Amino acid sequence: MADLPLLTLLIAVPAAVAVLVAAMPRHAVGPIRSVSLVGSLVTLGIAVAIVAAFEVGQPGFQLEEQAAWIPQWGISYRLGVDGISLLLVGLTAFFMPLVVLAAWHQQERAKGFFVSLMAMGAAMLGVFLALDLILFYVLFEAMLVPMYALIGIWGGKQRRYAAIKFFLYTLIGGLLMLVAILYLYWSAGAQGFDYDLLRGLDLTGTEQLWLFLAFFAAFGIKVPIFPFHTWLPDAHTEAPTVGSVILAAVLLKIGGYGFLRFSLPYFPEATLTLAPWMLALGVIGVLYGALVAMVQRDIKRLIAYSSVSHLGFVVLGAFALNQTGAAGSVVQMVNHGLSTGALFLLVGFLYDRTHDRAIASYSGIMRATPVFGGLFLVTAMSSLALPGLNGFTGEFPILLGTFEALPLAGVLATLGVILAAIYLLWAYQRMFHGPVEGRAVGLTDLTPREVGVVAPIVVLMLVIGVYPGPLYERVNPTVEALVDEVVAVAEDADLATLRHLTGDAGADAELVIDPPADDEVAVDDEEVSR
Amino acid sequence: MDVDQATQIDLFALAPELAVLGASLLVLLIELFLHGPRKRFVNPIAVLGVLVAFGFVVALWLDGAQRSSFGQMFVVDDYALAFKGFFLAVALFVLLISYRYFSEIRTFQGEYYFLMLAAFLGMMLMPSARDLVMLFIALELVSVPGFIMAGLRKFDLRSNEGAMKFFLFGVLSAAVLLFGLSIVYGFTGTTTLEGVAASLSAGEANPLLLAATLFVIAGFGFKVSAVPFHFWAPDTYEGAPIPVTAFLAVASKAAGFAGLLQVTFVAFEPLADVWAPVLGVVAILTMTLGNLTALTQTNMVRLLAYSSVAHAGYVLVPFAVVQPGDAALNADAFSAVLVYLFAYGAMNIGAFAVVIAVARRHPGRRVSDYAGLGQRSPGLAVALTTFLVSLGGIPPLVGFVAKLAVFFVAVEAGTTLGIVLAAAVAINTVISLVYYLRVARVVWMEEAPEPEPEPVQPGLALGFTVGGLAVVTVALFVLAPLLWGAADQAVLIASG
Repeated sequence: MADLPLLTLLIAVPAAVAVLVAAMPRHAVGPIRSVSLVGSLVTLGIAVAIVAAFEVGQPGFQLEEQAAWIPQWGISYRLGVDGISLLLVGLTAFFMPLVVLAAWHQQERAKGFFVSLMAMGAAMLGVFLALDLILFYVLFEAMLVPMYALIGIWGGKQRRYAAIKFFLYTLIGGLLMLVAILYLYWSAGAQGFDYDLLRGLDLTGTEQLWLFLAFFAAFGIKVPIFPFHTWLPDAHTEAPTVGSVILAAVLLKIGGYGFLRFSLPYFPEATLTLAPWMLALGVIGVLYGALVAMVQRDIKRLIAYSSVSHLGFVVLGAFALNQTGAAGSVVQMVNHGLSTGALFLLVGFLYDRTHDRAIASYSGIMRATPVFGGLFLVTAMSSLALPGLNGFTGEFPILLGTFEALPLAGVLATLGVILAAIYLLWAYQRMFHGPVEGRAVGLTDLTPREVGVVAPIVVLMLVIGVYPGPLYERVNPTVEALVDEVVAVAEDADLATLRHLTGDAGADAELVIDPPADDEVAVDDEEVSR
Repeated sequence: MDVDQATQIDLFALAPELAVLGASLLVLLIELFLHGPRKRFVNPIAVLGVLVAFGFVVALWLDGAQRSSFGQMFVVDDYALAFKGFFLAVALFVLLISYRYFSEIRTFQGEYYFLMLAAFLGMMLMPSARDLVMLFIALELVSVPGFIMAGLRKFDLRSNEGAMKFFLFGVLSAAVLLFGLSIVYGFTGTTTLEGVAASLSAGEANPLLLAATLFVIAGFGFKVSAVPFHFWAPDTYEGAPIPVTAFLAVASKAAGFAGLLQVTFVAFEPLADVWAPVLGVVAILTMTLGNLTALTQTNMVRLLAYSSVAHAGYVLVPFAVVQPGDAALNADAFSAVLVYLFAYGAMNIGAFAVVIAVARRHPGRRVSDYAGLGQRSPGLAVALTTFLVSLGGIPPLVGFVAKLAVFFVAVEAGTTLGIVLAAAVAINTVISLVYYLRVARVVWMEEAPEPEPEPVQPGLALGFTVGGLAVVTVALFVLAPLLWGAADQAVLIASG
């Protein structure tokens, strides 16, 4: 078992299914979806095997696989999984059978739909596993075309606009990242694109700053961070249900993952310099997303903006630069995937029945369809971080970590949690309570298939909500090593460079550096006062 | 060099060219004796000639020795063989996409195939030419048949106009080129590329000499349709028969780049400080103007024409980072040009092949004709999407490898110009995807007009070309090391 190249299989199985489905006749919808389902279940099985084989407590990469690809430039095929990627890989694989099931009755151009779905799955899993920067970039961009197709072919009215907007936003960020990757390569002496090889380079402060910004272009758009978020509500609203689920559950996580995987360890000085700005952007994202969500009339758009808000927490956690925050941000990514994914699924089921997403069209759904109402309530509660459900287990550590780093940001972000409760409960009240009116009249409750799609997610929400320990056990060692590395650089760094960059780095640096012990703080003060 | 050596002819070294020459004459002769629809059988003869020539190229490659003829004017080395192999592969595909097109037009088949093979003969001489005179002969041998072929659709005014423009620009640039060459000869006293380089690095840079190098570069700039010498391209591309357009956009352009490589990297290398920044500006202008104009095109052939102008801009980027004396960097730049050209050839001919297939049903060649192609002809639609996305440089397709190669040297140079060029390529890639994806959108996301047109039947030769090139476009991504290795092997400056 341990000898199997599990990580390669994890990417190869969905890719092979995509090719297989592409070769099947167009009208064989039944076999096409069966093959897709089996393929995604096998993928999930491999992911479970990876989780089982993963050794808890190790901070580094495990189950590594490596082969040369373009040897003359040191481009290799290297995969590996650590605490951060393990969770996201698990999340991705978990959602694959669910989205196939959710799209079970996809009739219109079903073949292309399932091919795109499986291709997306392969690329997304690959992105989290890739440990060669060119491989990472390739998979990062390879997702664009299937996702473009998913939104543009099977989406809503404005689908073409939304699809191209999504494509171009992501592409421009990605290309800037590519230029930065090549710059790193030449700075490292042109030996290769291996993840570890390009880590800890001796870059000047200015170089770090520019490179950080180039990577930020890719990941900040992906997260998305305010003000680069404008593609997301369009993409979410216009995408078919399954597309929205993939976007919310997995695709957006690549941004947060990229920050933790690349931005922090590669550019520690720039991270320290810019952390206050990133925290500020995170807070703006949290509050802005929540406020805009509050005034939405379209329930899907509301959830899209709630995504912007919740992903602001991920940014906060990552740039709080302490272990609590960073670990929370990884768990928050998983939680956001579960709760927002489930919300999009449920709204999709509703839309399938009525073809209407306006909040005002519904009233008293709870009475008409109690199963649907109940599941929606649990999911909404999870999304607004009710203690006992999963949302809380990620957001609370993030708030703690943020407070530790920058108390003001912590306080403001907490407001975001309150706002989330307001917009979600308000929408819930308008749509689900009251007399059965509008489109809710004659609404049929969820079918067993639909319950079967959402139930596993709800079960996970409860499990993680009560017992998040296993997640943290796996994330913590990796995150601890990461944060220690960044903070160590902060101590070693010539803070004069920082001062030069920020003009007045003293105050900023002090705020963001996690002070683990008194003597280290003293060192910082000394450096600053010099 | 004594007289014996100078007049010695190595027939084996010339075998590929002789095969193509023989085939071209045979085609012209045999066509006279064929009548009516049978005239189309000259196509297989031409294909056969190309295959034989390809066999000779492989034999020369296996032989491995560096050969030369006519003194040092004609050299066969890895660089020349790589380009010859590439040109012959292009010739094969151009002939395959011509078959149906010309057998249905039924005009000038013998003349067409003769001219096409003659042009490819010129192309094959180009990478072997190590002498300014030989280069000029090769370039003209590529250009002159092109003028005529562009005007083969005599019944179409646009074809006449395009051919006329092409001709006028062509002779003008040939004059400029010759003028430059004569000045270079006057200063250096030699016409061999290496001799020019040696003389240039020894002597002082004279303003007139610098102007002469720019004249020469401008002459090739016409061939590769670089801004501001590109004005002929869109009209000529639109008016010419589509296989000729594919030929002009890929083969003729690649031949221009082969010549430019030899002239700039070998002969004018000592003056790179002067011409490299100029080419950098030309590169940025070319890609930006090409892409911005392509954005507004509604005619598929014009869209591809402007896209090919933009691609010439990307290929010029490695030229712009050349630094005199820095052999390692220059070798990487050289290799990047080769990688880009080979990749570009595969995907662009593929795109034109699909256009030819669709143009049989929709002679208007409008982008809107492609509506619903994904439903009507899924195979062609998948292939077209593959080619367009690859032209846009999205992985996992060969276009990405090409873009990567260009980015690579631009950043490697480490100069401000290099970074600016990399950023320009990045921004232009985004712009270009707007129109590539617009076509993809029409293909997949728009309904076919009512009544739904018949499915497009590409036929065997076209179908093979489209399918084969689509596979190549994907496979060369996975096998990028092969492509790159071949390019690295073929770099001319290590030896020269």
